[in-house]
Amino acid sequence: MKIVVGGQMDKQILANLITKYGCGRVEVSIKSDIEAALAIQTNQAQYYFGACATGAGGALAMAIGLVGPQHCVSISIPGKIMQEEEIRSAVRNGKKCFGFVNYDADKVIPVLLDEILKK
Amino acid sequence: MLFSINALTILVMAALGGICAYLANQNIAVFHDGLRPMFPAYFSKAMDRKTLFATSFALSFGLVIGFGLPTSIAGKIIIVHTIMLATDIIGTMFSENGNSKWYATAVGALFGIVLLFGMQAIIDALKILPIDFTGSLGTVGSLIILAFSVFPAIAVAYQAGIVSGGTVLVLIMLVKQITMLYGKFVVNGVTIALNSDGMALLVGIVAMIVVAARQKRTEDGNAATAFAVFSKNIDRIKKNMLILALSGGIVALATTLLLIAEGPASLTLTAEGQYAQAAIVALGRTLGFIPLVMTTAIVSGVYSPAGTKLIHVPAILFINMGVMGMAGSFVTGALIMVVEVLLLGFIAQGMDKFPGMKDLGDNTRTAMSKVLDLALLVGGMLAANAIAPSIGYIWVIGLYFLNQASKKPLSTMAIGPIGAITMGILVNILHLIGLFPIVVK
Repeated sequence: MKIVVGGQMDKQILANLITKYGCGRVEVSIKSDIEAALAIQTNQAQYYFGACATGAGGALAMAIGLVGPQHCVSISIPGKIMQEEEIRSAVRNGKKCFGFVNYDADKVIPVLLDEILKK
Repeated sequence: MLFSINALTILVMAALGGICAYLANQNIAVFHDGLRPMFPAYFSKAMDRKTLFATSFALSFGLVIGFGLPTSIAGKIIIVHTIMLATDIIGTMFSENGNSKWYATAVGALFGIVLLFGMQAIIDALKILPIDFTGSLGTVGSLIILAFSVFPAIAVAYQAGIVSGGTVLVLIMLVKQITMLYGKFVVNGVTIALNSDGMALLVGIVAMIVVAARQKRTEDGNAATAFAVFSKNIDRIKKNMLILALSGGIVALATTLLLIAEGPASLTLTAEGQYAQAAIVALGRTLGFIPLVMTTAIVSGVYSPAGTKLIHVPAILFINMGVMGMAGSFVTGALIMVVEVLLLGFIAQGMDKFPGMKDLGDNTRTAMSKVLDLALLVGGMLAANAIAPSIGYIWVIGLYFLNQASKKPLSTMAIGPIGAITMGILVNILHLIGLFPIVVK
């Protein structure tokens, strides 16, 4: 399984968390948001993770633009984090690109990875 | 607030709210970078207006209330997010057809005016409390003035590692220290003192650009090919160049009139009257936002009412220059907007040529954001401590961690301003029940 870290902030922290909760089954690479979104578009990677201050702009904008909003979801934005069940159902419903506020990375990545690895 | 309320400022706020709501309503420009890429789905009818509005509301409402308002109250100038994220919501709320666009424009204009009077009313209301803490609110931004010049070092560290970042950090500190000691010249009997923070910032930004320009391409660039399919979107934005120019002019004029500021850092510096330094900071932020605003514009066909934020830079320098300054600000703002729109095609083609510049943008935004998080948090602590030396630090530190543990956390950047304002309100409540006597100094 390949996961790309695209959007803007704390990319190394995101990559570390993804590796940690990926249980050795996930290959992570850090890219620019455009390159990362293109990797999803061309099926070179299965999932896109991105973080920024708003969870939607720098984190996810290029993925929304290049991969399409139907594949993208903001797991957290200022003032709101998805409940665990909502996050799991987003993965089950086939979302591929996830944006969130950088401070929420350690809350949402374990849930996202847990559900992704069930697939 | 720092602006005055008169016929001109009322008119400018109405024009600003009106045109931004109109641009959002007509799908020409929205402020939230995350909303822009939603538009292709809306144009292709895969997304309806209601969903577009719901998305806009979800993305922006919390930021207006949780970030825009407290930052504006604490800083005494309206941070641009407060009005432009709201007009994103207002514009997408109404149908784009028929008379609805004029309703959107009217509501946007009304919002601008309400904001103008509302902000002043809030400050006036706070001033009549038994303990007037509005004077201490300025402390929230005190670290921005003294320490914001650190951000280029952090951006360089993200881009080229901690050795380069550390080198720039030392360079910035040296420049500040040396300018402070030796930056005074007497020319023809007039003493000219260089601003040490401004100089440090300038040197830092130059170092940051040099590092970015030296970066070599690390992966096969196929961004330009990917962007070639979006040439229609660029044409769409170019078609709306005139109204975007008008918007750029109004945004610039509002900045010059001290009505709005583009970010928390330049807001604080502008409020302190350090216009040159505020302009340098705004320029740094523009470097950060050029890739984000332009790439989202190219993939969506929708621009931003404030463009890449470059319009704010000359607008800040035109403050306090009278009528000519206002006219100059308006014209420069409009011209910059035109140039930006004309450059979109060039940017799309050149995407792979300067990979360092794209990274520079991302790293600059990240570094600024991180520095602001910390500077406003500590500033908020200092302000709360100035208001209530007994419990100020406890309150803001507590608030910070409560926010982190919350299921609905606000922007970290907003905790400092919110902490200071709520501390002020709390001491007034404590005073009413006899727990916070006024000390006569």
